[in-house]
Order: sequence, then C-alpha cells, then structure tokens
Amino acid sequence: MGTERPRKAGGIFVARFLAALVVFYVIGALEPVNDHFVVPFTQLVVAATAFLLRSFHQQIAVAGTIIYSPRFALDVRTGCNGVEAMMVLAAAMLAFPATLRSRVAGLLAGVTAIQIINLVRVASLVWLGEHHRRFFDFVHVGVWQSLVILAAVSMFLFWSWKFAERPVQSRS
Amino acid sequence: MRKDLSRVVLKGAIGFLAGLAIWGGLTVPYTRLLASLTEVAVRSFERPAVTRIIPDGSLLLVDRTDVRRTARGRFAVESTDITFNLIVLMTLFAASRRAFSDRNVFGFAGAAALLVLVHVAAVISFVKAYYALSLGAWSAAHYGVVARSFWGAAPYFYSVAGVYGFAFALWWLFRPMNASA
Repeated sequence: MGTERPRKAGGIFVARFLAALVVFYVIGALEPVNDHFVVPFTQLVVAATAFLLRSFHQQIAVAGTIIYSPRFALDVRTGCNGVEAMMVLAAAMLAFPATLRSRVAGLLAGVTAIQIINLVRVASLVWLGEHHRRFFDFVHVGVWQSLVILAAVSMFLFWSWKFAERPVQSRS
Repeated sequence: MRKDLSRVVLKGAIGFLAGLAIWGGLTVPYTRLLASLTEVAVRSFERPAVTRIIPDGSLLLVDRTDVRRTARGRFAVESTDITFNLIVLMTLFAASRRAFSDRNVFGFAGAAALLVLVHVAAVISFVKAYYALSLGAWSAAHYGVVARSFWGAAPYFYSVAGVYGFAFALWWLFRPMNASA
C-alpha cells in the first residue's frame, strides 16, 4: 500500500520519458533537422576532436564527419556525436516535474558536460583505432556507449536530487 | 554527502566492470538464445513459417527459405549493438544504496528479464526492416507505405535512443523506491 503512489508516479515518469524520447527521435530524424542541425553539429564535434588530438601531436585530417589519422579513419555518426545522450537527458528532465527555469539550467549544464565527455570518447577512439585496433570494437560499444549514457543518467539524477525546483501546485 | 557519493560511484564502477565482464563473456551464448527466441517469435506470425535466424559468434544471420539469397550474401545483425545496455542496467542497480538487498536483487532480475524481451523486439525490428526495405520487388509486394516507414524507423529508433532509454526506464520502474542512485 505504502509504495503504491511512488510506483504510479514512477510509471507516469517512464511513460512521459519514453514519449519524449520518441518525439525527440522523430524531430532528429526529420531531413531538414538532420541536414541543418545534426550533421553540422557532428562536423563541429569532429573539428573539436581533431583540434584536441592535434594538440597531442597526432597527425589528424578531417573531411565532413570523418576524422583521419595515418592508419585509421572514423566516421562519426548519430550515436557517437553525443546527441543520443542529450536526447535521453532532455527527455528525463522534461518528464520530471520541475520548473522551466531549472530544466533549462540543468539541460545547458548537462549538454555541456556530455559534450566534454564525448570529446574525450571520440578522441580516445581515434587513438585506440590507430594504436590498438583489436580493442576498438569492445571499447567503442561496451565501454564508451555505456559510459556516456551513464554520465547522462547520473547528471539527471543529481539534477533531480539537488537542483530541480518543483513547480507550485494549485490546490483545489 | 561526499562519502555517500563516493560510495555510490565506487559501487557503480564495480557494477560497470561486472556488467562489462558478463556482457563480454556471455555475448556468444546470449546471441544463440536471442536467435532462438527471435526465430520463434517471427515464425509464429508467418504463414508459412520461413524465417531462419542463425547465430554466428556475435552475429545473427537472417534467412528466408522462400527468397533466393542474393550475391550480397546474408543479412546480419550485430547482437552486441543491441545488448550492451545490460551494462547500463547492471551499473544502475549496483549503485543502489543496498545493492544486495532482496528488493534490489529481485528488481534487477525483473528488469533484466524484461530487457531480454526488449532485445528480442529489437532484433525483430531489424529483421522486419530488412524484409520491408531490402528485398526489392518482394518487399514492395508485401509491405505498404506505412509498414515500410514504420519498420524503417523502428531499428533506427532503437539504435539511437531506445537502447539507452529502455535500460534507464526499466531501472527506474524496478529500482527499490528508496534507492540513492
């Protein structure tokens, strides 16, 4: 009996979260959004990664969303550009009861942190592909994809615990 | 608070490493299980039942006995791209305040069981997308515009958002209510 209400609230949160995720996915899959936001954003991620790797004296070239080193090339697509983690974070923050102000603040801070982590991910994968190719698939799928999403979930939990301002509810 | 947080992070890190080891170690047998379950599920909606899903390492090879295989060979689904969210689920449950409490362990078992169904559904979506979009005239004859759009989008949704979203949603639903993580 005592856990009935939290369970129901949990179900509502999950339903809202999954609905928001579907909506974000549909928006992201629209051709104009993909062409004018997702692809340029991914190119920005690739350019930032190239800048980071060059600062460690790596020989790096860039063509669109592909990043080249002398012995390895990586095509960064949705799934490796951090957009997926941004979608999960945004959907969770949207589903959680909070004020618009705290949602926007949380999202800005979270997206920035996700992109910093993602920069390290893409740079490390290029380095791994160049120097330790046999570990690439395992680290790419098992380690980094999980870590980036766990980072997004951790940010949401921290935000919901410490910073999310509950909206004022009207009494009737 | 800092002590609590470092304990959660430590438990989460242990859970992550355990999840990584289990996922990496069980990929091949789990791919076999996934192939069997998915084949049964797909064939139960087929008249006649023609789909064959053959496990090959971490790959799921898809065949239809009524369609001649093209020169391009068999369609294959990489199971690791579908199943790695087990690591996310294990990490989240491991980071719980009382990781080995009955409620947390049973919660994890329930969430993991549902995650298997999610994986089966994901493989089905890849198989149906292949049927709906990649078999030329046969696809056009058997799938309408709406069905082709739906099956075209479903596996992409799973790969981009669902693979993460379902693991998080299952943890949220099955975690003990007083979980700290």
